[in-house]
Amino acid sequence: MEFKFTEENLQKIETVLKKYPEKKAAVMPVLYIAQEQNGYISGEVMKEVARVCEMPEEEVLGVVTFYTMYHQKPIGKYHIQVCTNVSCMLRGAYEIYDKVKDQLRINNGEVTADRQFSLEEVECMGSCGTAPMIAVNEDYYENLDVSSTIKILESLK
Amino acid sequence: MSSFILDGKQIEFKQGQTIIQAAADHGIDIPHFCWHPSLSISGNCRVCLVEVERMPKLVIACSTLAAEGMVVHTNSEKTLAARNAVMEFILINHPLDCPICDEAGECKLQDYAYQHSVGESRFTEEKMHKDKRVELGPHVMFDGERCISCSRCIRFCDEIAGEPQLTFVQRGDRVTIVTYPGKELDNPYSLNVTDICPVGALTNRDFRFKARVWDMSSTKSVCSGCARGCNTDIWVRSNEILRLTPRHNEEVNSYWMCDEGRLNTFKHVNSESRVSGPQIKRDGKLNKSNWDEAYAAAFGELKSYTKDEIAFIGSAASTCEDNYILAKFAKTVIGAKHIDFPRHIKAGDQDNILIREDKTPNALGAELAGIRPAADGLTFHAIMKAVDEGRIKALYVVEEDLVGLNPAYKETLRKLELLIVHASNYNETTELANIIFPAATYAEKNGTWVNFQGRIQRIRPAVTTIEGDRSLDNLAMSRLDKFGTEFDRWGNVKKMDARPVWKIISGLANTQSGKFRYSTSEDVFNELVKSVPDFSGLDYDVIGEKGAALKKFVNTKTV
Ligand code: SF4
Ligand code: SF4
Ligand code: FES
Repeated sequence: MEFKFTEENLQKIETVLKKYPEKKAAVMPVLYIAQEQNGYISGEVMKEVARVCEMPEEEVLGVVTFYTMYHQKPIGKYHIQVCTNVSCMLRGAYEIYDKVKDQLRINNGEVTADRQFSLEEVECMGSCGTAPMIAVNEDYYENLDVSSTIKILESLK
Repeated sequence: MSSFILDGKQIEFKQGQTIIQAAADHGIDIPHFCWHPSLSISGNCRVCLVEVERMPKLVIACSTLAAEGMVVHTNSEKTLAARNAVMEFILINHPLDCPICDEAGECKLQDYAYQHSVGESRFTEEKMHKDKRVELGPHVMFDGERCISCSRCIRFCDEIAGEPQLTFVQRGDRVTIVTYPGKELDNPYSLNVTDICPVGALTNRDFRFKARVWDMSSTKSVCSGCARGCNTDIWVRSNEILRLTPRHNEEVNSYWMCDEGRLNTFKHVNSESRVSGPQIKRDGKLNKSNWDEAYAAAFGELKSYTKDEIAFIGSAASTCEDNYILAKFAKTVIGAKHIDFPRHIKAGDQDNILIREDKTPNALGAELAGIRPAADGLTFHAIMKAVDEGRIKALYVVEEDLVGLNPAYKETLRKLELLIVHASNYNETTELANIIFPAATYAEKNGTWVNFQGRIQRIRPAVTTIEGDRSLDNLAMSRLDKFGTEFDRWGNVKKMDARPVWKIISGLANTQSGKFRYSTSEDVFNELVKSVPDFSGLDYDVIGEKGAALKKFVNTKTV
């Protein structure tokens, strides 16, 4: 499936490219724009990004796989990231993580059949002071326990 | 010049040199994995950490610029502790593969583990597991577990081969090397990554599992694949060539060679199709004869033609010595004037890296050594035409498969009354020959080639023939040569009854004149130097391991 940026996104990219001394340096924001448009980063997306940023697609692949925030497969409408790093773990993150798995009946990296939810166990999201926490798409939910987590999930269903 | 102190020694350096470079120029090797003198600096392996006085922390020698008055310690307590730590860290996920790993014996990681590591790991968890047999391309195999993520292979593809075919994916302990999905590591220089990979992660699929490196001898030679003449090592076990690797020569090929040259210039030496012992055709059938009989027969036959009816074909694959003796014989003994050699130009197959259009290693040398028609003689194409028209009746061909070069010559050569060839392997030309002399290959003899830059370089015997004497020919010895017994395979290796061209032609000439008195190719070379001014000032020692520019080519910059 061929991937082309929308007119609107092409304009966004124009502005982004101007911020950097060379096009290649803009690969991360350009990938974000692509992911927003396409939902995930496919091979076709990487090819297009490589073309726009004037760099080898091999290097784009390296960037995409390095950062967990780029998804190489389609994710759910609500992408749930549960932190299980030290601070969160000490304050019960695994109970929360297990509960989420239980409720959604999916494992790490999987998507529910109705494509509503996907789950990812992640390392520190920089919110240790309010551990334990999860992120739903871009939004943080903090100072959680099992029951408040269930409520969040219910509210999304 | 500025200088700094390295382990108590004063080291001079050029502005802009790093500590590791300056040390390397003085023959001091600071441990390193990711640094390579011909690649950009990556600074990721950290094994080159050194202590610099008055710097707060250890620094990596590969990217820290040398500075006037710097005092560097590579063996201080702090440095050793850091090196140990780095080694322990790298070894955490490294598999214990050495007993089954091709790299063992020439592995930087293995060497450093012996030299710089405490020999124990505190890591009791399960090691990372990754793919162990990934075909990255037609020639290169990748073992993900062995990779230490130094990025040398990636940088080679980007910077030297000019095709960024490899990349890291993932991160941390999951990091690994891949090609882009649907693409391969297939650039013409791909196998160089197997040489620079400091571990056994990248291996040569053609050589994998063929031999342990310490069971092979290595002999300094030159690639025969094109006019570049990349410097090589020929690796031999049990008198059989198992691989070629590039040998550093900044004037010619730096650290590299092309895949074509590496893979396709030695297999004929081991091949079943070798000619062993002189062959004389009687009643349409080739019969093995002894050398003296073959010399006498060949000489007798040649003498029955007038000099206008005879032509000689030399070869740009033969050595200067071979071509010199051929020319001398043709001109002084036979009095022939039709003498030339065919060119092997593959138009367009050339790049700005190493590969040259001229697919022979010694075109310049053959010409300089005297393979040129006399003023009233015919050039190669004219010779073939004259053969076709029946004006030339006898043809003496040295190490050229003319039919292989041009299938139309099959009909041409059939018209000859006499065809004498020197050939290492049976081919379509030998099928038509009346007498075949078995030719020693470039891997079985001493000699010189002149590359397209006008640089003369030596080849040396790596494989021994029946009459070859390993100690006399200065053959490199392997563990098997030194310690093998007659009960080992080495005692029963296959050896060819083949000789270099200069020796065969001398034998031929001596059936009558006795004036071709040479016992080594060096003798021939010394005479060549006296009679051809272009070679003046040279001898085998001057040419040495890295070659020397012929005078008239000095200062002509050819890259
Ligand atoms: S494959 Fe070899 S050269 Fe490439 S990064 Fe790994 S260890 Fe380095
Ligand atoms: S560039 Fe020419 S000389 Fe060098 S390895 Fe290739 S074929 Fe051989
Ligand atoms: S050699 Fe210096 S960091 Fe690898």
